[in-house]
Amino acid sequence: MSEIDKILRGTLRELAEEARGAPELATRAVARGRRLRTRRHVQLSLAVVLAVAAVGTPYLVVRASGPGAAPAPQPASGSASARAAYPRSTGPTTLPEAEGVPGAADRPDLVGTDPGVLHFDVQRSVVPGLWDTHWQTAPGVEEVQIAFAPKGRGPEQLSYVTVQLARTRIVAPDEVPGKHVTGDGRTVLIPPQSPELTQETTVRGRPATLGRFAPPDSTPPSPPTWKLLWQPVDGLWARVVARDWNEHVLRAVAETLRLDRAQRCVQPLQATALPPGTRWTGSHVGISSSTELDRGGDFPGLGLWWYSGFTLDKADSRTITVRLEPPNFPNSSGSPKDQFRPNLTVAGQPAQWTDPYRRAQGQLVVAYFQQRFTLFVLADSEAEAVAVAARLRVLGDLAKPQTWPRRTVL
Amino acid sequence: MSRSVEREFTAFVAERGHALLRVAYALTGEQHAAQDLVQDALAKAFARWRHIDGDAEPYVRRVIYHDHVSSWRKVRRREVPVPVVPERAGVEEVDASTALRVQLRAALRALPPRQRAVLVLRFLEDRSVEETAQVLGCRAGTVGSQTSRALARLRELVPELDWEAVR
Repeated sequence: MSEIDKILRGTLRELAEEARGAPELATRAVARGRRLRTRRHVQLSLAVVLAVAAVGTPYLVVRASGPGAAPAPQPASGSASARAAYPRSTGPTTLPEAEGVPGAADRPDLVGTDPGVLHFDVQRSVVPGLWDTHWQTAPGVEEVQIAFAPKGRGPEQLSYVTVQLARTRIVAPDEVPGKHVTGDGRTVLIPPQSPELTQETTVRGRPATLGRFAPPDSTPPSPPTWKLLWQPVDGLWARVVARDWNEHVLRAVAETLRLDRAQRCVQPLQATALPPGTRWTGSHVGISSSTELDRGGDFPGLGLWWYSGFTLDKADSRTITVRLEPPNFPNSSGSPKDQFRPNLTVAGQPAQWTDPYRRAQGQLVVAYFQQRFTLFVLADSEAEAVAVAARLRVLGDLAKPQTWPRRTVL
Repeated sequence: MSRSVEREFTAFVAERGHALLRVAYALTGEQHAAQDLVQDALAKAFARWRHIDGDAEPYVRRVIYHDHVSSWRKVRRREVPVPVVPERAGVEEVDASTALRVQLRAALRALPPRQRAVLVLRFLEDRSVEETAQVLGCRAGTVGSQTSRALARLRELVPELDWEAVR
């Protein structure tokens, strides 16, 4: 290293060391991030409208029904015993019923065993100001998360209620204090957390524990998180988590939890085959629940898809993650679109394999259908990612989950 | 986004926030500008947190660099103030190396943001030309030319340095 190199490095390091800590950096970033997210939803609405209006291709069959199209009401089903314990919903549901599949009340042993099925449903009509809903399956756990805007709040202040079902007591990995490496290689530090209040209660006559957790070291103090844990039937654990001051929402969701029906965790994407040695283990899909459009807003209409994906496990315990999104947000500096430079073709579509930071895995980005969709495949090698992407197709009406493939993986 | 996402994000900021501020400060040379740069980048990351694959830090760093360069593009015609270079008399009273660093950091602030970004990536973050090009979204050749221009400008501003050694 030359002398000038040393001086230049030393000067830059001295300069960098003068940086002072920024108070409330995370708090302010979260608040601003929420506003950005809302703004992106506006862009998403345009993107989805474009996608819905798109002409079909051999890979894409999209029929326009436009934003604002309400999903068809879902017929309820379930055994007589389950029906007696859990009343049928008259509220909106947006994933198709898994006909012939028992709910968790009858078969708790099935929970978390099929990545294409959720063995419960949430009475979403008890949640005020619905904004969007996220369904997810993973080995051993099924989850529904609802974003909502409590009364008097705008979309920049969304709140969340999450319902999880599992066959064992639920403690999310990210709730165990200490340093953790997540499945995708990210290191996170989870501070110790214990409830500031614990209350024994009941949910539909079953004993339950309600805990109130205060965020650690939060300045100004953030609202608490409520966690309700109980066993709705023997051999099954349920947990409802809500933040802010929404204990009443948490209780309403828990009391009306529907274990008498199963729903398909579907998406407008399907893998016609899987590479050898891989196994489908999880799915996720997000659908807008907002009625903002009805109120003159510009959020995607009720029931419109806005992202989805699935997970494959490999024999070596590593995973391949697939995610389909609308086109990237044009104003998102640093987004993959800014960096998209196709260097290969997948099923006739321009694609780019990239591993810019030598992460544990690389990423295949496919600009689908003249960039009306973007497909991401996170895998250990380009060949692996291409093998998955080449077997995918986009199907169905984005506003009608009933038209999406019954199984994400054939 | 779930509460767990927010907690994960907050933990990430607690762990890596200062490192990001260091980079931003090296880029801007100004405390408030650095904080704004990092805060904006973190906000963008939070808005997309579910969709960031792998380590979030490279994503945030990339946004920081892009925003830094983009902000300059928006005001590209604005003159970048050139700080006063210390008088030679003052230089002689302190360690020569220290004095040169003082001059050099003043000169660094005079560089256009893109050139400064290249130097920060190459000399502070020890990135290769190819990695620098990927972060900035340009070709490797552009990184080379920007580096040359940046060094040439520093040479003008701080002629006391032994610039022959750079070659």
